[in-house]
Amino acid sequence: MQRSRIFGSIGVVWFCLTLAAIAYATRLGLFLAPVDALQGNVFRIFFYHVPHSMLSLLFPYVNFIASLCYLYWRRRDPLKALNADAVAIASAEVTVVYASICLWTGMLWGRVEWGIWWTWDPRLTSMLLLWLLYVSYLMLRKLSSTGQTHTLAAVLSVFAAIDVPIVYMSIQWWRTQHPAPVFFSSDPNAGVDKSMYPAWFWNLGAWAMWGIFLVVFRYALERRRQASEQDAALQAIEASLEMAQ
Amino acid sequence: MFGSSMAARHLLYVYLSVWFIQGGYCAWVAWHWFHTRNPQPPVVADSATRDDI
Repeated sequence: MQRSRIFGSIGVVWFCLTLAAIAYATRLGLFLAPVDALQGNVFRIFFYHVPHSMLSLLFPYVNFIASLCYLYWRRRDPLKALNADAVAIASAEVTVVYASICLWTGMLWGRVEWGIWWTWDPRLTSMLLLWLLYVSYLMLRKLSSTGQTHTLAAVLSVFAAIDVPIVYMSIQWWRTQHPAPVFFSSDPNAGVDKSMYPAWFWNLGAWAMWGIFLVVFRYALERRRQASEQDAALQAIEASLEMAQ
Repeated sequence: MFGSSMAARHLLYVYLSVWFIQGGYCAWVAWHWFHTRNPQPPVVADSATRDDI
């Protein structure tokens, strides 16, 4: 059996399991988890908001490591560098998707609970900055026409990763309007009731599985695109050599 | 089940928009996957060996 077929089969099985996990996690979050004593049903927004927020701070590190690998390999081993570059763009796009959802669902919750769509709170502002950094990373890759685009993007990605710990620590370092973290909080009054744990962990696991699926699928697409471009370049060289003869 | 208040509407918007954004991105990747030519046989780095394929 061809290796690509085995990977394709694993991908299909992973995709189906992920959809089942998302369906179950959504059912837990929407219908089975108890109603929050203070916020009521609007609290159920957090079952989607928090996993997307946490994952939008993890995928930038995949992008960061892949970019460092690209910078290291770009002269030493160009084929490995192409692999690393494909991982970098895949993880950057998934970061933008997850960060967009984090901002959007946070705004919808804020409008209900705070009465406003947006406030220049340190957590919200640093998250918006993170989103802008990765959007600019993707725009640089899309629009730049220099031969050094991939190197410039990798350097930008290294700087963008600096914002991730700032986003994470912003609610510890500064007094913010944003709620305290649900997990890993030093505040004994923070957190949620244990009866909500299944909904939290199922949603976190399901959306992590979905994110991994997206990164791998996008990586495979980028590798296919790179191979297609290489093939077209080789054909062009061969055609020019035939014309010269 | 959750009523028709702003809280209920926003809860609905969150769940629907997440599926829409995630599904839309996955569909975008899938569309490009099926519209990007898969070179057969696989590309080799050295064009000198291409004649051997």
